[in-house]
Parts: sequence; C-alpha cells; structure tokens
Amino acid sequence: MARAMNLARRRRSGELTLIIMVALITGGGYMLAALGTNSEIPARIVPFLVALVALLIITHIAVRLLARGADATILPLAAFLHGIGYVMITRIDERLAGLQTTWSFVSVAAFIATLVIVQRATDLARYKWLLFTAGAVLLVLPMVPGIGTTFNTGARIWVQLGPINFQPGEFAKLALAIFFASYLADTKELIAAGTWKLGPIHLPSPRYIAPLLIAWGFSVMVMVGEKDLGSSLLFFTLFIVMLWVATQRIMYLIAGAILFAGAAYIAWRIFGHVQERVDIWLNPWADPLDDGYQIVQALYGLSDGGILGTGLGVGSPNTVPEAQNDFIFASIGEELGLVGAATVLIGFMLLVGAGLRIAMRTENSFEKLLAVGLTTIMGIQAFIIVGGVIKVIPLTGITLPFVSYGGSSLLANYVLLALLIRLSDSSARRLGELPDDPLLGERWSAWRLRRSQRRTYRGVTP
Amino acid sequence: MNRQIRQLAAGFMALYISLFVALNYWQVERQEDLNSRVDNKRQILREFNQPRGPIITADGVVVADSVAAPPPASTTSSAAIRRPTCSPT
Repeated sequence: MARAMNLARRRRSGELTLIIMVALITGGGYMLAALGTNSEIPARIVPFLVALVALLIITHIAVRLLARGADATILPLAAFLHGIGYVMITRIDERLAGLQTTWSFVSVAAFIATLVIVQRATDLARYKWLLFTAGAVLLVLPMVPGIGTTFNTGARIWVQLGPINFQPGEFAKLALAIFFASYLADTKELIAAGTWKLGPIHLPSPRYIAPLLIAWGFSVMVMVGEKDLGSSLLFFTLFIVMLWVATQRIMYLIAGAILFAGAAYIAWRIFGHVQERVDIWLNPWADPLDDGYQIVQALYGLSDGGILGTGLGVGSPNTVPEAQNDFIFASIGEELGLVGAATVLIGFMLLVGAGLRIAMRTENSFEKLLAVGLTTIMGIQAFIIVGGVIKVIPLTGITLPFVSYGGSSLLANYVLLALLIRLSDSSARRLGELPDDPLLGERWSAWRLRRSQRRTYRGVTP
Repeated sequence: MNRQIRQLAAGFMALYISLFVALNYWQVERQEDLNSRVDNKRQILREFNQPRGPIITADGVVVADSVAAPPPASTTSSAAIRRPTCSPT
C-alpha cells in the first residue's frame, strides 16, 4: 500500500515539475513576443504571469485532489500547447488575446467541473441515449433558421444565442464519441459475429448496426449541409476507427476506406466548393492572389521561418488571413521555425501516445473504446488542420486543438482532456496502483444511506 | 482490442511523420526557392521594418528620422484601410 501511495505521489510531483516548465516556457514566450513586436516589456506582464501560474496551479491541484493516479504527462502537454497558442494569439491580435484569456479561465473551470461531475468514467455509459440525442441536436442547431449563422466563414457551424456565439459541433463530437463507445462496448460481439447472411457474405444484423449508421449518416449529412468538410472527415474517421477497434475486424477499416473514397469522389463531383479546395491544394500558385492566397502566404511564412524561425514577434504572420485560427500552425512555423513547429507536432504525438496508453491499460471495454475515441478526435483533428496548412491534404477549416483561437474549441478540448485524465485515473485504480478509496460522491451517498438506516432503526419513517 | 490499438498508434505515427516530412520540405528543401519568388513580400517587409537611426548633419540638424508607421492594413478586413484624404460624398 505504501508503494502504491508513492506511485500516485510520484506521478503528481512529475506533473508539477512539467507544469512549472510550461509556466517558464509560456511566460518567457509572452515576454519575447512583446519584446519582438514593441521592443519593450509589456505593462501587463505581472498580471499575466500571476494569472498563468494561478491557472496552472489550480488545474494541477484539481488533478491532485480528484484524479491523483492519472498519467503525469497529459495535463502538462495540453497546457504547453495552450500556452504556445496563447503566446501566438497575443502576438497576432491583442483584442482576440483578451477574449482568449476569458475562454482560458472558462475552460479550466469546465475541466475541473468535468472531473468533479464524472467521478467514475463508466457512469457515462448509462447516458448513451441521452448523449446520442444531445449530439444530434447540437449538430442540427446551426441549421435552424434564426440562431444558426455563418459569420462569413462559408461554413454554417455557428449558433448565436443573445450575446453568446458558439460552435455546437465541437461538443457534439464528444457526445457522439461517448455514445459510440458505450453502444459498441455493449454490442461489439453481436456486430462482429455477422449473423445476417446475404448470399456468401456475413453481415452484422441490421438491428445492431442501425443506430450506428444513423448516428454516422446524420453527422456526415449535416456536416455536408453545413459545408464543414473538416468536421465531416473527423466524424467519419472517428466512426470507422471505433468500429474497427471494437469489432477487431480489419474488414471494417477497409470497407470504411472504400466508402470514404466513394463519398469523397461524389462530393468532389457534386460540390463546387470541394472542387475549389482540391484545385487549390493541387496548385495554389494557379491563383496566388485570390483563391490560393491563404495557403501561398502560409507556405511563404514557413519558408521565411526556416529551421530556427524569425523569432517571436519579428515575423509577419498577419500576412496570412485567419493566422490566429486555422492557420496558427503556419504562424508558429514562421516565428519559431521548423524546431518550434516540430515541437508542437511532437506535443500532439505524445498526447496521442498517452491517450492510447490509457486505452491499452484499462480492461473495461467501454473505457478502452472511449479512450480510443477521444484520442482519435484530438489526433485526427490536429492532423487534418496541420496537413491542410502545409499542403499534405486539401485544406478544410477546423481548429488546432488547444492552440487555435476559439472558445468553443478550447472548452470542448478541456472537457475531452478531463475525461482522458478520469479514464487514466480509473485504470490506475483498477490495476491496483493506488488504493481505490471511495470518491466524494460515493462518500456522500454512503453517508446518506447510513443516516436513513439509522432513522429506520429508530423507528422514524424516512 | 489491444492489437488494434497498437496498429492505430502505428497509423498515427505514420500520419505525423508525413507531416514532419512535409514541414522539412517547405522549411528546408524549398526554402530558398520560395523566398526568392517575386510575389513573396516578406523580404521587402523585413527590409522596410529594419530600425534605422536618424541622419544628422555635422552641425546637429536632423535631416531624416524614423517614425513608427501605422500597422500595415490587414488583408482580411477592409475596415483597416483608411483613406483620410478622401471625404465621403
């Protein structure tokens, strides 16, 4: 037991060390960016540093109290990416940086709230139909006339409710990942068995596969309707990967790839905006001042940065439209060079590695599939946007998790992070790495049960 | 399921390696080629933004001085373009 206690404590002190390093990197970066742009140390440096350290320490203490057995690298990696992104946003647009500060506080609050509310990850599995409905409603919300809007971005993914604007799709993907994980954990054998014979082919019984197909078809249809290609690609990959891991049949992956190729071809034939994206991808220099402007300027920025970058605050990332949002990776590549951009990529790789390690360690199918789903969301989303910016795949507008400017995205990703940390903590408890002592909620219900029993024995009706 | 998760990890590794290769291609391999293109304004921008000292004659009169220029007009928002000499009609 003493050894077990030590393991949890070692993990948390490792996390604290990494958190302090993140604070140094972010604080140093903020100062350098200000020196680079204005040649003076900003007046707001003290409040900034206080807020930065306070946020980091609060999240660390929250993990220490609520999930002390969790992996030590997940929170610092996310905080590092968030810090780098924040420094780039302050450097690109001061006004947006102020908004991003507010969103950072809200996101950390949501992170802690998620850890408090979801005390046992398996509890989430109970709400699968509720989450299914919530995911569906969130996806359709931007298409509702009156509250859905495009904000001139071409994609109808925004919802405007009074003074608050948000992208419900960011939260829908979390809800659907939990639904997929829960549904597949229950029915994976039935789907894999293929009880429906169609000539020589064994197909999964339509009864078991139907809810999945509905969820997937719905999300893809809505996304195509909202012209949000990036999210549609993300949902497709999430669905196929989870089905493949759950059923352990490579057939699903192959079938998914074929279906995807077909869908991509049809979309390319039918939709003008898809053709345009592909044409820009194939040759952005065909129209470098209009259609290809964004990507051409991003590539010029990257080449200007070279190996070591121009230095924070010294480059001109503002030349690229949407530099703080979809194209933030190009800004990082310009000012921090190949070294900085590769560091960000490695950060995502380590985060994906940590997520999949959680999936490998736990024995519970639901937790395994949920960890796979959440990790896939984060890893694929980062790949789609970075690949789009550096011309590996056609560009589809989507945020870079933790790094890009944007409240909905940051908030959703911190909730995702809290769920991963919760999964990591419960797998550590199940493996006996730390004593599985009752959680706050369980202590409270136990106390209430004891009290009601005492009353019953005393002859008092509860 | 662990075998699939390991394969998924390998898949992710391959995707990210492709990103890393592309990054090297743009930032190292094509660097000189891209920097010397005629429509690439970044070299000019850097030249213009170079801090320069004032030019002072022997008797101490400043004949040329650097003043901070307004931030360059953003290419995305037309609101940033100001034409103070044009009166709205």
